[in-house]
Amino acid sequence: MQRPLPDPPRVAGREKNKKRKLDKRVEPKPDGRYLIYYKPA
Amino acid sequence: MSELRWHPLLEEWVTVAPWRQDRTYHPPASHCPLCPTRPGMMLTEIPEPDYYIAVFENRYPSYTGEQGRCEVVCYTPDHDSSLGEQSVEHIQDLITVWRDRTAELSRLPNVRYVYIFENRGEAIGVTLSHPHGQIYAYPFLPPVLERELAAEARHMRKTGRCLYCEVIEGESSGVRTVTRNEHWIAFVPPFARWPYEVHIAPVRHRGGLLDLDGDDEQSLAKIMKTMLQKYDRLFDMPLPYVMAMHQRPPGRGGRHHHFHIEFYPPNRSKDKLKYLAGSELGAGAFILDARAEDTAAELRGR
Repeated sequence: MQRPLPDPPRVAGREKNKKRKLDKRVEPKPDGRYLIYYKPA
Repeated sequence: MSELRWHPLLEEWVTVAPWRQDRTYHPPASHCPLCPTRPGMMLTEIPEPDYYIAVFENRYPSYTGEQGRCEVVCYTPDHDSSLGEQSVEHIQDLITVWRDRTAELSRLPNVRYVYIFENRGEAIGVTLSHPHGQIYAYPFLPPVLERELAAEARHMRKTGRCLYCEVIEGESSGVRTVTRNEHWIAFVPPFARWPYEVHIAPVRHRGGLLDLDGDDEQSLAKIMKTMLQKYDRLFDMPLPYVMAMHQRPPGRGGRHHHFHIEFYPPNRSKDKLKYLAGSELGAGAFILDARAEDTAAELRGR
């Protein structure tokens, strides 16, 4: 009788990359249009 | 507001915006409206003395107000840089900006499609050389996307499968692959209409930027940088191109769509351009004097 195969080694789940976060600042322009600044949070 | 005129023979909209005739045309670098406003220099579109990434409403829009929006996306304050020269982290941040703009513009009541694109190089007709892209939030589904979505929907009805997933499966031999990573493939499609046309597409089915996770976004930034560097090494010069993002439209209309980014460089060699002429413009039939397998091999080796 064959010995049962061992369980496969446990592989730690790879850490998923998180979405990058940006700071966002909206400013009106004098003619009514908008301007948005983005920079790393 | 622009005037939308219906082309009854082609069944598509033509947008008439005469004020765009006055838009800024090849200003010297010292008068670039997309640079930050340096102390003592002229006021640009961006009044701060520095910025990271900036977005503003186009001063000469094709669509505004209730019709839609036209935005300019300034990739970097560095006038002499390019998208491909940015770091992977910076490109990933740009993807975050594109995602944010897609979400926000998709919520506008009359917007039927959010289209992110870049025109690069004078050969394409760029009037401002500062590295930037644009976003058009259209009040209608643009005809190329309409045809693409209709083909995808027909294929899904007929086979139960995503059409573009099958296109990617057709690239398993790698003969038209330029580069790939865990999540994305860059390839010259067998049906390319430009000699060095490249599609960058997610290997797993994604409909648009709003459907990407953090891994997808980081891998996309990496493959975009690799691809754009290959383009600039192809002829040892900044290669002109149009970059066109084909995302699913807002709402439920494009649920079978497979996100991809198309690049069309006009060059067929270092000093020769492919012009759209009689067959392409007058009959809509593209004639190509290069094989996708050959141009993909050229790009792969750069």
